Amino acid sequence: MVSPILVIALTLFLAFSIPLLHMLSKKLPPFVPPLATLINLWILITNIKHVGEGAMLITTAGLKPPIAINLAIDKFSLLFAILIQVIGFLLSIYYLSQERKDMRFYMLFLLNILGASGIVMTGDLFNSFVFLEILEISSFGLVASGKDKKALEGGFKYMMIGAIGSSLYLLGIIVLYLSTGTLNMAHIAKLMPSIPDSVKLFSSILFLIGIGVEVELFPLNAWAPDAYQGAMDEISTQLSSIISKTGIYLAARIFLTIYGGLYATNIIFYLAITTFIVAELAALMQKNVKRMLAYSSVGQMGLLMLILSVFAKRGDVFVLTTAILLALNHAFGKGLLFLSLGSLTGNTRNYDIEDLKGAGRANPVLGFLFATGVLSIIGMPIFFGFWSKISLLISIMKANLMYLLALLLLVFLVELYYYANVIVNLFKGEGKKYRIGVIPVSVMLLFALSLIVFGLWPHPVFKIAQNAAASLMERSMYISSILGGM
Amino acid sequence: MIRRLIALLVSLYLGYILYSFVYVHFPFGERPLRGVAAHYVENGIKEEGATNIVTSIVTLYRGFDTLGEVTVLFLAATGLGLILAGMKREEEEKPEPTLIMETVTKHLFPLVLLFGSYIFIHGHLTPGGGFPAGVVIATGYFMMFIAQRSFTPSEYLLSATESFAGTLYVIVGLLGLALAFSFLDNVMPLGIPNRVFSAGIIPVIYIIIGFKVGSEMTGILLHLKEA
Amino acid sequence: MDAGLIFYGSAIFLMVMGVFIAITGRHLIKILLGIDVFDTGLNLLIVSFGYINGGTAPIFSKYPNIFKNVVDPVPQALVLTAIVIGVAEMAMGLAIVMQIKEKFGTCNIAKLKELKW
Repeated sequence: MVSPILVIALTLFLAFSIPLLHMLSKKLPPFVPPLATLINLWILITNIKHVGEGAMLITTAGLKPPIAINLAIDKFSLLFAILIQVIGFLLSIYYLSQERKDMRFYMLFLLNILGASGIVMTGDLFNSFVFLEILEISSFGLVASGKDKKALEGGFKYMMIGAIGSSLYLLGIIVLYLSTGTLNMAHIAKLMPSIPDSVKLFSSILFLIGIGVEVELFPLNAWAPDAYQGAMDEISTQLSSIISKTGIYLAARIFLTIYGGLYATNIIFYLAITTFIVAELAALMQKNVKRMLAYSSVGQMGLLMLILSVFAKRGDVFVLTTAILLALNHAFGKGLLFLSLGSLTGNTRNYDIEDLKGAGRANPVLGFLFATGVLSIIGMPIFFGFWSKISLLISIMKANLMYLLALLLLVFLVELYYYANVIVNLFKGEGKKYRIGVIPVSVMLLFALSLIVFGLWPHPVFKIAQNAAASLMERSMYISSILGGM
Repeated sequence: MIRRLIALLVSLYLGYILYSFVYVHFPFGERPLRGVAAHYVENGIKEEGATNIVTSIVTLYRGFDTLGEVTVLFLAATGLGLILAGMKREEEEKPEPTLIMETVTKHLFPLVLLFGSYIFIHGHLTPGGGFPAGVVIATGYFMMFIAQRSFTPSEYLLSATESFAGTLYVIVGLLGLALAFSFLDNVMPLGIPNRVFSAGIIPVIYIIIGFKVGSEMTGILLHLKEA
Repeated sequence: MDAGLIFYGSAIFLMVMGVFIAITGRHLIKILLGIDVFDTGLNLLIVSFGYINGGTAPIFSKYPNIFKNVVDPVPQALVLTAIVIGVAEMAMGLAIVMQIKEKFGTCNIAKLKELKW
């Protein structure tokens, strides 16, 4: 058996050794991220059969939790960890096609992947803060690494809000430590009933602010459209497919596992619903396609948080399964959209909808890829998005939340309208033809292919998502598998 | 003006909420030592051999965090270099440092380095450790940047030190995984407490961290100076 | 005067000042400083949470005599991490501000208007 801690140790080792490799040969650094993510993927896949009921415990420093830090991997974290490595692998292949002089970019990219995998695998609350910071600081760097005005402005805004948010997240951790005397997630979850209600509420609000920055909840998402728009297209992909998904994982882990059902459910419900509606309406009014995609991303994150809070009230596995399916669909679909949009503009960074006229007709392959992403996001049959949307609507119907159902259908229509508008514009009129390399196209094809394959054979994915959701539900299993019989 | 006043009132109000919450629930100094902290204080020396309990928490019990922390610093140095790369600033006239400054810093510099090394070598016995030591060393370099016009450390060497120390840290961790099936386990003999050669891998880790933090902070200062 | 008032009060006062500077500041460096002051206040608050009446530093330099009356070592270890992370954030922020100054020619946040719809 290969210990999953190697995912973190080896990634770190490779990231640290990039400067040394650079001294050996200037050609080596770009090949490190694909290698690292591939090894990680292999390690995680060999561990699938070892993760049974509850969580798999991996200790550090040779001591049992809660004394030392441990990793806790259940099916839910395994699913997210694999998702992160897959997207990371595809993106790192994409980067191979680009000429980059600075090896430091690859280090930042690899550390970003490391931060995300650390968050989903750790079983210690303070450790999750450290990895969150690795994730955030590397994201500021990646966003600002475009080095034009937009990228810098987006990066600075992200940094400002992110810094305050993560400090409050730290304060939340300390408050929980003071009331329980431990930092282990499972142990805190076990001691949760002994904490006074006001402390629970206060700390959960602090956590909500910290995580709200990552999952782009309403008052804290001012950075999101700017950062998405300012960053390079691959970085936007990373923001929407890896970073925000990690935020969702953290929200689920903290509010469901530790607090045992979202403690601040109502607050999250209203914030999420505001996020969802405001962002989708803002997307409708955009003339800049990339900013539109950014708002649509924010809206999707709002939807995911909305489902989480509804789930917390009802405790229904099916609702949680749809949330996971939606997250997967969004990770692949939005990633494909950002990548293909970049190529459709010929990397001119001019995303105005008027200037994109006919670009899809002139570059049929790219047009087709972009359309695939759109169709999956809006939930057309034979695409993966169809199953996630249908099961979402069914689960809401089952939960008897008719007003929510009406609202969702209305917003989905809005979504349909603005996406259709883009597609129509892409295929109308004459556009410029661009040359693009084999590597970017094949990476985008892989994204598109996964959407179609999952759409045609949804059963295995559905099963995996269901298992993951079930393992998130089994809170007492998680606690006892980490702490043993104590 | 009104905006500022509102901002002031809002932040004061938030502070007041925090204060009253903290004051009621966690009265100052009246918490018993319990949970994991009690375990560390009681068994710390037996388990890890360091008389400084904070050190054994930082390097072993919560050593995984420290690895992350080192990574964060590494990340900052890298990101800073990436963002500032290619920035050129017009050369402005800087005042020449005086003779006194030049002479004093030249003689002070080795002493500062020595003091920094003293701190990281004695991390498991006295307050301090790798992080403060690294910062002390970087301060020595900073002093030289200011006082000596011609002084520039080799960026190549800095980068190599940083990267080598980082990989070494991970290797020490992996050693624990290989020998005791647990990452960052204390696999070396503990020795007699309160000696310099004691506490297993703690001094080793702190020496690595000292080198790493020193080179990283120097690198950050160098980039900020040159950009 | 109450010790809790002094320690908690001054730490939280620093946090309040930091937030105030960060939200009203117009200059980018000023905003960064505000965030830094906020972080410092938070770190002080965390350290003062760890104090236990009559406790000394958790360093047993007279080893085999272990005295039980020590302060909580965990918050100190956590603050060490938090400080380093604050430094890293600040370094990154400064780098971004330097580039902004180079590209925009100003550090006034009101003049950063590239990204408006």
